[in-house]
Amino acid sequence: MTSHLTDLEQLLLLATLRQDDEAYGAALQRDVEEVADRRVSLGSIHVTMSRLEQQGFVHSELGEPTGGRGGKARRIYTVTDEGIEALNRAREVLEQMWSGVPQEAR
Amino acid sequence: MRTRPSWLLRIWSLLIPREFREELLGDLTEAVDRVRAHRGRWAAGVWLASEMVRTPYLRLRRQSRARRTGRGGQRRSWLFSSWLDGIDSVRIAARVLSRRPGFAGVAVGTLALSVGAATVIFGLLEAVLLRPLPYPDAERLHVVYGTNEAWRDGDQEFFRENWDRAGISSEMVESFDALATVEAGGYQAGSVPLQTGEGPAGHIPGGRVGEGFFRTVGTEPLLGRTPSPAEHRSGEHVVVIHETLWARQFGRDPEVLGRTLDLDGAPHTVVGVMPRTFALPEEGSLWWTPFPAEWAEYRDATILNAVARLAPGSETSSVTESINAAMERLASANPAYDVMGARLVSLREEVLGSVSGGLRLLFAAVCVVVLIACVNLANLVVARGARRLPELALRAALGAGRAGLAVTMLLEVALVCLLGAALGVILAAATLAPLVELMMRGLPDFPRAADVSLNTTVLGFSLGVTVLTALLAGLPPTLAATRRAPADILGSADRGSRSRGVRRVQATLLFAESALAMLLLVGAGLLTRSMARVSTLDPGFDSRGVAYVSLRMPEDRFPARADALEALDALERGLSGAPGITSLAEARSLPSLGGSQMVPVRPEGTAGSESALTVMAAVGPGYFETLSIPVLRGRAFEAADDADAPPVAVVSESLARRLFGADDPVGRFITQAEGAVMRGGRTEAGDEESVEVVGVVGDVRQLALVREAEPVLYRPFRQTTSRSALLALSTSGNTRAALEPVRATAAHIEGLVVEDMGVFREQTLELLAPVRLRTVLLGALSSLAAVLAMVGIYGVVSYVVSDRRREIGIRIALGARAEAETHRVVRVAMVPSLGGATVGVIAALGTSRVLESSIYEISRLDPVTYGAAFGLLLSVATLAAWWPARTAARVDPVEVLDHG
Repeated sequence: MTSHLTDLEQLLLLATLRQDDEAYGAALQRDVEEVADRRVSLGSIHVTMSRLEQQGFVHSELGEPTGGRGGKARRIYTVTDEGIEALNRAREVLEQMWSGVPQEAR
Repeated sequence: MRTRPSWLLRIWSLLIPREFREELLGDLTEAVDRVRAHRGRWAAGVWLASEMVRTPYLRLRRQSRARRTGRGGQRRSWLFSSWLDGIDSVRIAARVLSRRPGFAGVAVGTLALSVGAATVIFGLLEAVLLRPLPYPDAERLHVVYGTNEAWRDGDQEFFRENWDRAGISSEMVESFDALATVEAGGYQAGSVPLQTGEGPAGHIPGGRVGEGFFRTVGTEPLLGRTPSPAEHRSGEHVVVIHETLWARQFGRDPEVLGRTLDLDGAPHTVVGVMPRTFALPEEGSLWWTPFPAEWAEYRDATILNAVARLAPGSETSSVTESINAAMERLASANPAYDVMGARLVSLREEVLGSVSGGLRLLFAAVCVVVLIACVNLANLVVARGARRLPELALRAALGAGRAGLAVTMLLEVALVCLLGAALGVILAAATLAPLVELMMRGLPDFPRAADVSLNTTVLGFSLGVTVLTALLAGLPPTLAATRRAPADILGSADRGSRSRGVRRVQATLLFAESALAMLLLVGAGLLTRSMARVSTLDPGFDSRGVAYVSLRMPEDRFPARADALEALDALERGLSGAPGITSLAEARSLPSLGGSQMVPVRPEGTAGSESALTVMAAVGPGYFETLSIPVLRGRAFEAADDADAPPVAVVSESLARRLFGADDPVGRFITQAEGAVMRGGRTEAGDEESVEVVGVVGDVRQLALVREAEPVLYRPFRQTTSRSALLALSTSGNTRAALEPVRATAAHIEGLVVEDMGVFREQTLELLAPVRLRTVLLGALSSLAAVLAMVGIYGVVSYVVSDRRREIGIRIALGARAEAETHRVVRVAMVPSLGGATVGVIAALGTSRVLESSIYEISRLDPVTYGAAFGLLLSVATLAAWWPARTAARVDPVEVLDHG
């Protein structure tokens, strides 16, 4: 299992958690863009989420086809317990790193 | 909210692995709709394009295997993977380009302008010249002009005979499949009052045609039929109308057949409708009737042309010979016939001949612009390749093949070209419609302007130009940049030797660019100067404040000419007190507006062979005064010079010289023939008349503003037999406003038809519209060329400055003057530009021959034009070089030596 998450992976995992049950591609893209001010293509989002799923950090399921998106289904992502654990680990690493930083640089 | 993804998205989705397609397509559709709702269609388009560029196709493909199998999967085929690599390379190229927006912007802009211009011009060329004429087997259709040996004077060619009655018919000349006569310039002969009632009774062009005209051309009517042979023989009042007239006058009523249309005040029954594509005998002809029955007895000269369909396989030359032979036979059987010859002109030449030269010229010019764009782009690629040499060398050292590197660089060029071309086509689409609109309004006779469109042929041409540009501009520098061994570049710190090679290439390109731009500038300069000369030249008359009313007194309403003149008198009486009209004069036509007659004239007492064809103008009292034409000797016409008075004439200065040399012509007599006359089925020279010269007036440009003034014979209007008249009104105040009472006054006079009226000056200016259009278009193209050359020079000098920053810094540190450094850099660009401009001048001296028929009043070797073009190009070059060079002098030696 990979020991660390890239920042895009962290952003997407966090965004997934923030969406409750509605975490699908377009919603994740909008959240990352609005909150983190970062433009990520939908293709990259799905590739990244698929890799995270491979690693066991998220679980995905294809929903029912819906109107308003050309009759296409959504892939709904949910973060697994391993995913939450990995996120927390990443945050701890960052906090530890920050703790050694002199006050004037903060 | 949209329910289906757009076609673009569906095509794009084929690039997405099946495993991701459903959710990705859905997400994209949803997100695009959201952007569209918040920020509009354009933003949504841009957003979608960026999403497509940024999609990581290769990673999606790799990940799809994982999704499918849980981990690795089967190998992809080599072909497929390299195709995907290609897509990824495009993404990389796009990223590299977006990091250097200057390069990309200049290149895309250059491409957009040149492809746009090429698309517009080719669009015109395609619709007007390249498409076949819309008639069956159109290449066999010809127009036959008669020529008369006896009147061989200049290029005046008259067809004095009605072919049918002269005995020339399709049976007689085997080479013809069919032949039919048409009234030459006949479309001026009639008028159709508009029934919609808005404004004046419109003058709607149409023509009288002989039997078999429609059969000869071969176009079937859209509706109804064409006149029958019996109707042709009896001159029945039937009319075939054009689809446009059908729509305008009858609202495309399918029941139009059998309804009537007033032509010259006589009702004609509509029997057929011709399709929109039918444009004979003239562009814009809207109706056709049989020749009137009385023409069978017509004693005056009729000027007719013929439309002929050659038999398959016959040659024009052999046809001309057989007509001439037939004519000889006729002449030997009956000595009263003049020997006439024939001249065949292909319909294509007849219809398109007047515009093909101009269009080809524009096309040549736009090709030069595209070449300049190629050179510019090549320059940019060279500069870029030079900057990237270390990077390319590093990649080569790491194992990248030369082909791979070349493809990477070419992809960038291709991307720039495609972007530029797309913008160019958008630009062309935006320009073409207004241009066509302008042409159709300003040049109603321009053939097939309405057919111009951005169709697949035109877009294919644009794509071809783009691909060619990409290859021409991209390939040579790319190959040069990737040719060098990596060790060579990485190992040597000698930037100087490398950039010297690049600079040599750039200098060559600048040279070529300046030469090409010079060529176009001279061309545009000659046209502009010619235009300016024509607009300001003195035509011998003054059209300011003169209005005209064109009138017709149809024979069936005024059987005797005296009645017709009475109607004219009534109108003149009605107008003479009207506000704004200070004086009026009768005439058959006005200078430069056409409608002048040619008659043979000689001094009395000389042999008939001395006759020279001379322009005759029929004018009334007050005419010379109204147009400010000076009376040099003798007198002008007076009211007493009417049909009962002895025949008199006024001659122009040059005619006086031609007829009588230095002698005073006033009081001398001349012999004037009336032209050809039909008598009892035979042609005879017209009645000869002995006419006394009573005055001499100044020369005017009677036939056309752009032709030298020709000798003119003036006869009193009342001593001629004309059925049409024109009133020239001298006005004070607003010229157009002075015309207002004319219509109402004319309406009270039974049978009098007002064909047209207008402001003389506007008409004379309108005649210059084709010349002006050509000048404006060529001017625009050469301005574009100059701008592109400027951009090219700017680019090269910027490159030199940034490349030599270190060197310049050192020089300044060593005490060189900053100004001297600027000059040194400017010189790098100026030497090749000067050389190129010089070569361009020489080339222009040689090629300006193609302009000879389009320029007036100046020589094609006009030194002022050449000098001005040379000066303009050099100053533009200097400016473009000086602007970036100026920064060279500001180089801070300390900074450069620290970091440079």
